[in-house]
Amino acid sequence: MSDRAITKSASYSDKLVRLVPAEFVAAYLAIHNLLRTNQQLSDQEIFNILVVSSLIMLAIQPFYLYLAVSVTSKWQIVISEISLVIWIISMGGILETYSWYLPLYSSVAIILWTLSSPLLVRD
Amino acid sequence: MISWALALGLLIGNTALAENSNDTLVLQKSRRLTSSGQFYRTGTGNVAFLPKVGNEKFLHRVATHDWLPDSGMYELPRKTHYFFRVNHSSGEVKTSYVGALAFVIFQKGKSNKSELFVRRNKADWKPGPDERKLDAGFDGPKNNGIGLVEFFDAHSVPSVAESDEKLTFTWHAAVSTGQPFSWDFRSKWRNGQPPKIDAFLRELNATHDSVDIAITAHLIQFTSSKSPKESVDFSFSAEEALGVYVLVFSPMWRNFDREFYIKMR
Repeated sequence: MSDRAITKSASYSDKLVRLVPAEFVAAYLAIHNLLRTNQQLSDQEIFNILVVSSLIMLAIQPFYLYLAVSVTSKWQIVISEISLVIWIISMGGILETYSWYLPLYSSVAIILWTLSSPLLVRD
Repeated sequence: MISWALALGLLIGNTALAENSNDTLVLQKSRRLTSSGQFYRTGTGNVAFLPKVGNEKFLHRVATHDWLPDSGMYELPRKTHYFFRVNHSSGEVKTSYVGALAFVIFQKGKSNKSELFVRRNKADWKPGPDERKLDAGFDGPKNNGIGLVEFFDAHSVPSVAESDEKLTFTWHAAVSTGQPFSWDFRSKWRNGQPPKIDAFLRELNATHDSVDIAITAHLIQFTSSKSPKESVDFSFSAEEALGVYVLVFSPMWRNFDREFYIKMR
């Protein structure tokens, strides 16, 4: 059993830490910063690249969790996928082009999701 | 005695300031907003420069807005195409206008044509020189359309010596148009004087012999709507310009009445 898998003995805080998709969050952040500092790209082009990158990361993550860090719980993988979506949105670059969206919304969402997601994981 | 001297000094100082007010550019600072939602919450009539848009096809997905929060002159970064967005999103239907004057300084011999276009989603018209068209949105509150009232041709100035005359002409053209509801504002602004060409040259460290100038003016009338989906945008081109400045004003802004480049008579 890997360090990332959530077991029956895992405490709330263990679950909380293990559900944060840290590797993929870091990758997204690196791509986002790279694009943001590029003066030649329009918001539309940045949006397109970030959406494609996010979809690729969402597709890779289940395999990464299963094969690389031996997470076998389907629930944990599903919750990690939702976490990644919320983290990506909160880091910016995708919803900012919509007039109804404010960055504050995703900040609130990530706090609520991070606190509640450990409660949703079944062993 | 001292108080008299102070009063005299203040008087002389104020007179000198008033006389020089059009010879020095007073530049405002834009504020970077990183999401479209932030811009649409700035209030109806606000204008933003879109620094990351260089092509019309990118206008429907914009996140970065350089908000121009006050009436006044703004210096813009060098690029080829300049796009702006007017916030017309509001809880109620209101008709108002935004005035925009673009001052583009070119190196002598370079292109000095710079037309200011107004673009509106799903528009069935194309603004151009000498074309004047009434705004359909002004017909009544049922039509929440937004649009163009009048368009002023760009003035490419044949010689810098004529620049001040053209600057003044364009200024008056911009501030003396509009619908009757704006008469109060127009009468105030008509008494104003725009910045002089020397103020731009000083800012750019350029001389009369080395530059051409192009000026455009536009007054955009719009009717606010509850939905920001149909945006009102305006744009102009200024390839290889030495300096690009835009003067914006709107009666809907809190500082509209503040004096800048104006000598009230």
